[in-house]
Amino acid sequence: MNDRADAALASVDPVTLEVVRNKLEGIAGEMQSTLLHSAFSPIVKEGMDCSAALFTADGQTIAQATAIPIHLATMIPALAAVLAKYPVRAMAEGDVYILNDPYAGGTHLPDITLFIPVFADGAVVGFSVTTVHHQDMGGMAPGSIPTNATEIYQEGLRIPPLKYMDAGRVNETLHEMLRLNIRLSDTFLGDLNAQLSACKVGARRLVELCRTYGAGLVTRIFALLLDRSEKMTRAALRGLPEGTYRYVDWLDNDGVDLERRVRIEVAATVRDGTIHFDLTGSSPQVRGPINCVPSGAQAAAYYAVRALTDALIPTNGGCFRPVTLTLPEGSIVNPQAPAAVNARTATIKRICGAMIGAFADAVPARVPAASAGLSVMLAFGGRHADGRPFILSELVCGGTGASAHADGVDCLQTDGSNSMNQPIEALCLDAPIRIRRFGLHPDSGGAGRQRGGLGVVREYEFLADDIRLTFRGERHFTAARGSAGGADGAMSVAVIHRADGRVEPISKCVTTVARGDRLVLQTAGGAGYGPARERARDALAADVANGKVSGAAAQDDYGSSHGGKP
Amino acid sequence: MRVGIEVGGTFTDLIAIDGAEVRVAKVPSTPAAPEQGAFAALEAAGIALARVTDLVHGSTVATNAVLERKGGLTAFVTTAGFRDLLSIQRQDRPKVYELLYAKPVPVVERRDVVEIVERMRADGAVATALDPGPAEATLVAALAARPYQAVAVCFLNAYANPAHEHAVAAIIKRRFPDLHVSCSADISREFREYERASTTALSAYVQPIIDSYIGRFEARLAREGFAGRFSIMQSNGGRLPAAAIRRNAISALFSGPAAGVTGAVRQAGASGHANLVTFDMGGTSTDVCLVTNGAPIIAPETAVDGLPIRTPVVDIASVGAGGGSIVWRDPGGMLRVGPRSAGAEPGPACYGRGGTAPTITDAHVIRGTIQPESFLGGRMRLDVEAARRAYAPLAREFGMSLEAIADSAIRLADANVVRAIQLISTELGRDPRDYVLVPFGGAGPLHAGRIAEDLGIGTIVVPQNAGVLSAFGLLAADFTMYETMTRRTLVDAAAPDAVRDAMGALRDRLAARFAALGMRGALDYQHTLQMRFVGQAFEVDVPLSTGDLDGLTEAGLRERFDHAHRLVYMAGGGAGLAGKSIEVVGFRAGATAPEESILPPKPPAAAAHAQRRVRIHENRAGRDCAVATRPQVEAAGGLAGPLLVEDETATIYVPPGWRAASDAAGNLVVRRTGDAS
Repeated sequence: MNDRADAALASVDPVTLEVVRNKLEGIAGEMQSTLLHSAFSPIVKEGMDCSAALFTADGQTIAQATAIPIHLATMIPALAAVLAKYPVRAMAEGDVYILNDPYAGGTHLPDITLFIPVFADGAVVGFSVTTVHHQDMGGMAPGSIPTNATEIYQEGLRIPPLKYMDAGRVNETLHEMLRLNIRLSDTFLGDLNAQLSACKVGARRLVELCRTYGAGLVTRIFALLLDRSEKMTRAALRGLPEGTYRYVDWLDNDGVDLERRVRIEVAATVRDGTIHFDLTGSSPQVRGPINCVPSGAQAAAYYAVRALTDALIPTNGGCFRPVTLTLPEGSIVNPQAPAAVNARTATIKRICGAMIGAFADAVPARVPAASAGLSVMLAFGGRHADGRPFILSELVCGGTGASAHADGVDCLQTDGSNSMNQPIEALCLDAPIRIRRFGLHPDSGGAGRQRGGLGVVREYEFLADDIRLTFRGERHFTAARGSAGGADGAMSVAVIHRADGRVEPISKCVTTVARGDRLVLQTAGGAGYGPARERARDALAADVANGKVSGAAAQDDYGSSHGGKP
Repeated sequence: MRVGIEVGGTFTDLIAIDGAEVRVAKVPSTPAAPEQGAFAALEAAGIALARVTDLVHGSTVATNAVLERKGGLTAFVTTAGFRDLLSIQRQDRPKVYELLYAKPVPVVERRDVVEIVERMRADGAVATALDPGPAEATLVAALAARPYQAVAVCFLNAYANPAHEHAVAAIIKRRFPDLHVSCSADISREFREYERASTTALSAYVQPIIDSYIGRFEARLAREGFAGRFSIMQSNGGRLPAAAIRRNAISALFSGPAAGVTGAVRQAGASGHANLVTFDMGGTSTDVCLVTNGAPIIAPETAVDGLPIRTPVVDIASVGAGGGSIVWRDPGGMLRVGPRSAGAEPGPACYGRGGTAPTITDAHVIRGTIQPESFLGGRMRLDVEAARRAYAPLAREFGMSLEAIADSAIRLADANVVRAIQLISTELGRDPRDYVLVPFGGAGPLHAGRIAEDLGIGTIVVPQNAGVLSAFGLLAADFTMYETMTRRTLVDAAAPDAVRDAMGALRDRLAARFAALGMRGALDYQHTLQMRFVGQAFEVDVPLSTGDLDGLTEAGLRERFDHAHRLVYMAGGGAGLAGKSIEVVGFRAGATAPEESILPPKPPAAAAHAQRRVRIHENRAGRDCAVATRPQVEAAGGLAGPLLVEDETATIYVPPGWRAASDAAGNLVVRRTGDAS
C-alpha cells in the first residue's frame, strides 16, 4: 500500500471502515443462509456444496461467506469472463448473468455461477454472486462427474457467459435448453432459483448500504478494505523465510489409464512479501477428467496463502494481489479444450496439499504432515421401487496429517473442500441404498510421535437394480507422506462385492450395481509427525484401548511390547 | 416470598419479591461448588428460607460439566456398524483456513461405545430384529467393564420407531437399576443421526452431575427449613419442578440467557409491549433475541462447545462483545473489538485486579459514561488511571485522544451488536423498527440508545433491576415442555386430519408428562409445523393456534406456508415455485402450565433535587450530561438526554434527542424525541 492509500485510509474513520466491513460480511452470510435454506438437492442441503460472495464493480472479492474455499476463488475468473463479454456500462438493472464453462472462467460443469450487477445512483457498484454444485448437468452419467470421460462434451451441458435474465426477463431459450438437457430438471431449477434468491438478497442489502453511507463512500471503503488486506497479507508473507520450496505428490490415475500415476510438482518462492507458485514439472494434460483449468490452481494458491498467513486477515481480493502462478500450457493444470475436467476437485486438493506441504521444513510448527487430501466422490442414479427417479451424490473424506502439536483429526475435510457428509437417515429417505457400516478405520493413521488422523470405512448395500454408480477415489496407490520422521498414512481401498460372489476392487469407475451388491470403501489416513518410537506411551495405550491402533500395530509400528490390551 | 437465584459465570444474582418488598443481591459466583454462591446470595439478602414459598434456580452447572468434560462416565449404545457416530460428526470445519483445526471432542470415548445388532428402516419397519438374548449378554459384559454412571442409547431410524431403543433401555434398567438411561427417541423424534446421537450422549453425560447437584441443593434447603416449591429453569424459557430436571438434565443447559428473555417479555409486557428485541450485554458476550407477539422465536437446535443439541430452545444469538471484550489494533491498522475477553479474571483494567488490556468497560470509564464512584450502586471501586493506562498505547497508535479512542471502541462494539440484531430480525424478514429494544445485564442499558438509533428503533424499555433481570425471569417463567417428531406428510386433502392426529398425539404425550409431575391443571398448547416444498432442504416454522387447528383446511395450510416461506427465504423475490408440492416434515407442540403473574412493585418516587452534572465524551463529542436516579427521573416527570440514569444494578445512558420517563409498570421508557447528534 502506498502513501496515497494511507492518506485515504486516514480520511475514512477506522470505525466506519470496520462497521461497513462487518455489514458486508453480514450480507454474504445472509446470502449463504438463503441459498442453503431454499435449495432442493441433497448435495446442497445436506452437503452444503455452495457459496456466496460480493464483488466490486471491477471484479475483486470484497466479502464472502464461510463455505467452500474452492468456489470463492473460482468466482474471480468467472466474473472476469462475464465482464470481458458484457462491459459494465452496458449492464442494466434486472440483468442476471450465468456461466459454467470451464474454458470460459468456470471450473467443472456442475458448478454454475450466477451474477447480479448491483446499481446505486445509476451505476454498477458491485456484484452479488453465488455458486452451486448442481446435482446434475446432463452428459453421459447421472451426477455429471463421469470418471471415464475423455472429452468435455461427455460431461454435460456447457454454458458460456450468458444473460440468464435480461432486465428482469428470463432468457426463455436458455431456460428451456437447460430444462431439456438435465436430469431431474425440477430439482435443478429449484436450486437455480435458490441461487437467484440469494443473489437478490445480496443485491438488495448492498443497495441499502449505499443508501445509508452513499455509493461514493461505499466504493471508497471497498478500495480501502482491499488495500488493507493486501497490506496485511504482504506483512504476513514477509514473516515466512525467503526462498524456494518444493513438493511433489501424485494422483492415483486419470480415471482412464488406471495404471499411470499423475505427477503434481510445486515450487513455491517467497520474496519480499510476495509468493509465486510454479507448477512446471506437473504432468502433461491427461485423457481422463482430472485436468484442472487455471482457476483451479489459482483457487489452491489462494487457499494456501490464506492458510499460511494470518486467519484474522479479512479475506478479500486484496489477499490475492501478492500471489502469482506459472501454469504451463497443455499441462494438467492448464489443459487445452476439449479435455475432460469434471474431476478437477481431486487435482485442486492435491495441488493445495503440495503448496502447503512445500513449507513443511520452512515453518515446521505451522505445517502438518500430509493429509489424506481426498473427497471420495460417489454419485448414484436410478429408480425407486415405485418408479420415481433419484440422483444422489456424496463426498467422503479421510484423516488429516499430524502436526508438531497434535495428532491428526479423524475423518475431516481439508484444504479447499468443506462439504458435510450425508446423514445416513437422510440418505435412506432419498435413495434405495442402505449404509451398513460407517466407522473409523483402525490403523489407518500414519504412525508417529503425533499420529495421523484415521480414515473411515463406509459400506453401502444396494436395494434396487440398475443403479448407475460413479466412484472417484484417491490415495489408492499413493499415500499421504509423513513429516519429521513420521510414517505415511494408510492408503484407500474400495471393493464392490457382487451379490453372486464376484469381488471387484475399484479406484475410479462408472458401473452399474444391483440389488444385493455391496460397496465397501476405506478412505486413506493422514500421515504421522515425528518418529513413532517417541510417541508417549499413555497416548499409545489410549489409542489401543479405543481401538484406533491395534495391538499388533502398536508392536510393529510403535515398537511397543505393552501397548495395552486390545 | 418468591425468590429467583441465577448463577452466572462471574456473579450470582438474586431477586426476592414479597408483596410490596423487593430485595436484590449480587455476590461472586463459586464455580467449584455453585450452590455456595447461591446460599451466600440468600444470606446477603437476609432471607429466611422457611418463609420462601417459591424458589426458582438457574445455573451453569450443566454447561460447565460439558465445557470442562466433567460429566458422568457414559456408555453409548448404538446400531452395530456405527460406533463412531459421535467422533466422525459431519466432517466439515467452521474455520476453513486453520491448518491445525481440531474437532470438538465428544463426551464419550470410543472404548465406551457398545454396538447392538438391530436395524429399523426409515419408515419404521424392522429391517433386522433385535434379539434380546445376545443383546442382553453384550450389554451386561460391556456395562460391567467400567464404572459407568449413565448410558445413552441411539439407534438408526429410532425417530421412526423407538421400539428397539426402549427394549434395550428396559434390559439395562433391569440389570443395572442404578444407571441413568437416555434414549434418543425420548429426547428428539427427528431424523439426522449425528445430531440426535450427540444430544442423547450429552443428555446422559450431564444427568449424573445435575442429579447430584440438585440433590445437594435440596438437602441443604431442607436442612434450612425450606418447605416451598423448588423449580429449575430450562433453555426453552420455561421452568420445571426440580424433580423433573433430575430426569431431563439436557433441557437445563442454557437456562441463564433464556431466563433473561422471559424476564424481559414479562416486564416489557407490563408496559404494553409485545414485539421486542431483547439485548443482554454482560462481561464476555451479548445475547440478543427477537420476541414477536410476546413469544420468543424457538430454535430446534443449539450447540455447546461445538457439539449439537437437538432440543427446542429460545433462539438466542450471541456475539463476543461484552464489557470485558478486548480492544486491539490489527496489523492492517484497523481498530477491532473482541473476540478475546479479559473475562472475570483479571477482568477490565479498571477493576484493579491485574488486568492491563483495554476493554469496553475501561472505555466507558474513560468516556465518563461509567462514573467510578457509583458503579454497581457504589459496591465496587474502579481504578480510572488503570483504564487510561490501558488505552494509552492505542491512543498513540491512532493519534487520537484517550477519550476519542475509547469512544471509537464503544461505537465499534455497538456495531457488532447491531449486526447480531440484524441477523435475527432483517435476515428473518422482520423489520427492527416494528420492535422496542429491551436492554438489560450490566452493560446493555449503557449501549441501548445508540444501538436503537442505528436500527431505527424509536423506543427503549429498560426494566427495573435491569442488572439482575435474569433472576427475575426465573420467577416470571411458566412451567413449559415441548414434544417434537419427524413425520413427512404431503399437503393434500387428507393433510388437515393427519396434522390434527399428529398434534393430538404430541399433546397426549405432554399431558402425560405433566400429569407424571403431579400437575393436572389446564395447559395452554402451542403448535408449530415445520414445512417445506417437497424435497427442499430446510423447513420453515408455521405456527398454528388451537383454533387454527380445529378449522384447518388444505388451502389454509398452503396459505400459511406461503406466508411464512416468503417472509423468511424468498425475501429476494424468487419465482417459479408456484404449484410445487408442499409437505409437513416436523411437528412441535409446546404445553405451558401458566404461573400466576408477578411483577416487582414500583419503587417509591424521591425528591427531584440532587441531580449531578458530569462531563462525558460520547459519539465524537464532549457533552455536559446530567446524572439522576430512577426516582429522580420520575419525580421530574421525565428528563431529556444526554443523561445517565444510575440504579443499583445498571447504568442507563440516554443520548441527546431522547427522553426518559418512568411508566406505571416501573419501567424506564426512553423515547426518541428529535434528531440524534
